[in-house]
Amino acid sequence: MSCSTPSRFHSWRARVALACGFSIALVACEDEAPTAVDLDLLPPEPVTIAIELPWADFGSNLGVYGGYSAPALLAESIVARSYGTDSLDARTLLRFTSFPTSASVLDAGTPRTDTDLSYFGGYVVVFFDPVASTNTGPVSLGLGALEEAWHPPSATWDFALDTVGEQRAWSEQGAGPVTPLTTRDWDPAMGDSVQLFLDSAQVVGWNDPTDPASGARIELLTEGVRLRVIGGALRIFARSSINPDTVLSLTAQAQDVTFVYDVDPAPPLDGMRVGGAPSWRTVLDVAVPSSLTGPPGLCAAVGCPFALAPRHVSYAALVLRTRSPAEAFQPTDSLALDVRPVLSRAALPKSPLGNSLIADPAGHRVDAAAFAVEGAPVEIPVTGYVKAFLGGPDPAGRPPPGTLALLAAPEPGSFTFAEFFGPGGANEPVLKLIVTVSPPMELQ
Amino acid sequence: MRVRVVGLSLGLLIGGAPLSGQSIFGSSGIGLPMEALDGRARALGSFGIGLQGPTILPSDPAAAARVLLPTGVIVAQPSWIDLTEDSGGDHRYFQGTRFPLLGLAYPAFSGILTVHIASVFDQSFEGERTVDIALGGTTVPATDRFVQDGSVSTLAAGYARMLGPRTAVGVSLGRYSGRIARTLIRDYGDVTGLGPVEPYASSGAWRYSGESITGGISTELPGSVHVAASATWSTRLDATATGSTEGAGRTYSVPLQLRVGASSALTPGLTLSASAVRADWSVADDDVGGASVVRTVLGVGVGVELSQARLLGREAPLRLGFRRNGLPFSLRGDGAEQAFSGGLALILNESNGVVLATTDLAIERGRRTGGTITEEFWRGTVSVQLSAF
Repeated sequence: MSCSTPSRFHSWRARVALACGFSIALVACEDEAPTAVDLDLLPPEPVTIAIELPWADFGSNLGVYGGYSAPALLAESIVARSYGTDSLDARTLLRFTSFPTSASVLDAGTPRTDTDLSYFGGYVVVFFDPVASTNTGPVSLGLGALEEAWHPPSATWDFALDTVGEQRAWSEQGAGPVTPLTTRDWDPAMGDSVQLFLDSAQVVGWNDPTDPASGARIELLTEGVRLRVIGGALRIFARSSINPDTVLSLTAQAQDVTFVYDVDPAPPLDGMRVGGAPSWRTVLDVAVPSSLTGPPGLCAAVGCPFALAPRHVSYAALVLRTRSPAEAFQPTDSLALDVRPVLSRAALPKSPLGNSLIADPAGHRVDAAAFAVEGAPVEIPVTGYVKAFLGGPDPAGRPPPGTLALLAAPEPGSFTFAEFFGPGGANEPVLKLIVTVSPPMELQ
Repeated sequence: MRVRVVGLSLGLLIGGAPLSGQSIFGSSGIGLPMEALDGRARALGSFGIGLQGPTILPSDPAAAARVLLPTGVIVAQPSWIDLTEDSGGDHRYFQGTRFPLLGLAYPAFSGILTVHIASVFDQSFEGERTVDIALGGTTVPATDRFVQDGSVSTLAAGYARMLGPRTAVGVSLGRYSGRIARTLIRDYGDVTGLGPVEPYASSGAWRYSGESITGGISTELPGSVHVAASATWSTRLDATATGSTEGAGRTYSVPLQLRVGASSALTPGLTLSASAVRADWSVADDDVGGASVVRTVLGVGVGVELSQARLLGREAPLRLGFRRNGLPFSLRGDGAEQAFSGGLALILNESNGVVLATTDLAIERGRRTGGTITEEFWRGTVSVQLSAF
């Protein structure tokens, strides 16, 4: 806003007076509204009540689907031997990149690039997650060289290649046979990695990643243990042609890592399962009631039937109660769960999914301890979804999704999976709502 | 020039529109009365009736008949308030600015046409309470925050003319307008063990409407005594729910408002003025809910003006005044406001004895009381009147 004055005001005093006057007025423009001294002036207190809708009031058509994703996409792998009641066996397979062909070597104090290296041995280093591994003492590991062509994205316990159009079984189940190379003990008290040393001939065999049979197999020789492998690499010793007294330690990274295991858990008939690798999803139909006739606490407070509107919902969560999975798949680390809408129920199990309905982009994390007991409650907040459901079609006329999928975040996120009780019984899923209601705002 | 003046005026009005309230008494009944007075009337403790000279106040429609040239006035009114309760030491301070009046007068049809935009009621206030909520066996604290933002104003058009050399009459037709929005938000804050709990909001908005007519007369009696009277009759003030507001609308009775005033030159350069108003707001008793106290109000004000004072080499009339007025709506018993006032006028431009531009400044030190609630306030008023633009 301009502070100009009419041109007829020739006097500087007039201009100053006018400016001062409105300056005084504008000084107080930073308003602070008066605060009520009497709470009776405020509208009546809203009523806030927590409601748990039983499964029958909001859910139906629960189903569990498996086979999503693949172990090769997991950022971790496992090795196990006769672990748990299912006697889980699992082996980790690695394929290394080609060896470095040059290195910088000091020649009389001057760095030079040596392109004529002589490889003469090395070792495979494997990194473990001691916390997520089940052993407390030393365990023995074996390293072997794969002998048959294999396909890292699809390899399983039984098949070296298992794609839609082609299957080729291992000659020996469990990624065999292999050429045994070495064994070594790993003691978690001594560190989180183990080195399996190789001679020159053993090392050179892995210097061709284009060889479909190139690969290493790591297996556990100690029974009753499951280890979480979080990385592996091949360290190669090389001698310089420029300075033969110089021994170089070079690294070939693992370009493909996967694991194979021999237990194929059946889908639960009366429960929910989420996670694993390949992954499990639980799908359910949801219909949030727009009219509530209970519980008695709500009816006593606001009367029933009560028309539930989006603005009444301050919090909504799917409350699941944990069930211990088979021991082989018992989580040893926290799991992250996600909820996404199923975009085409008819296309299940291959239906595409919509965007996450969970506010946390990393998913809703559940501590592993929750799966060590039966019936521990796990609340997955879905406030935004419930409000959108009650709000009806979006501005484009699309109805809110009525089918949801519970899945791991990311998928796959872990070899282990979460299990929850299904409908029926005291531990069935419920929809928890925190509802706030007040009479219509009135003029006083 | 005309465009610049109108732009300045509208800019100030628009800029002032969303500002907050000036008194906790705005929370009672239909709100706190906002008298549309200029700096001169405020400084003299006047209710805007019976002042000598040309004015374009909505409370004195006949006075506009003495306007000689096209004239406009705009008023700004900042307030600083100190609220105490039960005479305790707990002080709450707040402040706010209003632009209670924009008036225009234009000679036409052997008289003067007038337009006023004037504030009538201020209704803004806030409130907060903490509550404990039982959720599944645990108690969760929550905070209810309430905000009321509203005001009532009038847009009036009028006509005034002289009936002979001494007497003037005027009439104006006004339309009430305004809006009130009431919003309550329950904020749960961080609830342990749960994810984000969204706040709950309940709100409503209403739009005001209604009509009024104001008639007035003023005359010069022998002995340089100027007297004036006016009355405003209104239809019911309707508050109609807007948008998705579920709350019901309301309608309020507005009483006949009577005003009388007089002024007289006691000696050359010294003028005494006095005025009084009366309105029986008890007619709205059944329409106003809550714990508000509704009553008939009577207000009186007196003031003196030293018209020959000078400041910075220019004529600058000095004014002193006192006024006391009842509040139509109060919180805990009868409410009243009284204030001592002072002020001056700065003549910005004058031609052949005709004031073309003036700024009137007033400052009031007063107190509003209602039951156990007391507000001590400073209230400034700045008005700018321009003629022949």
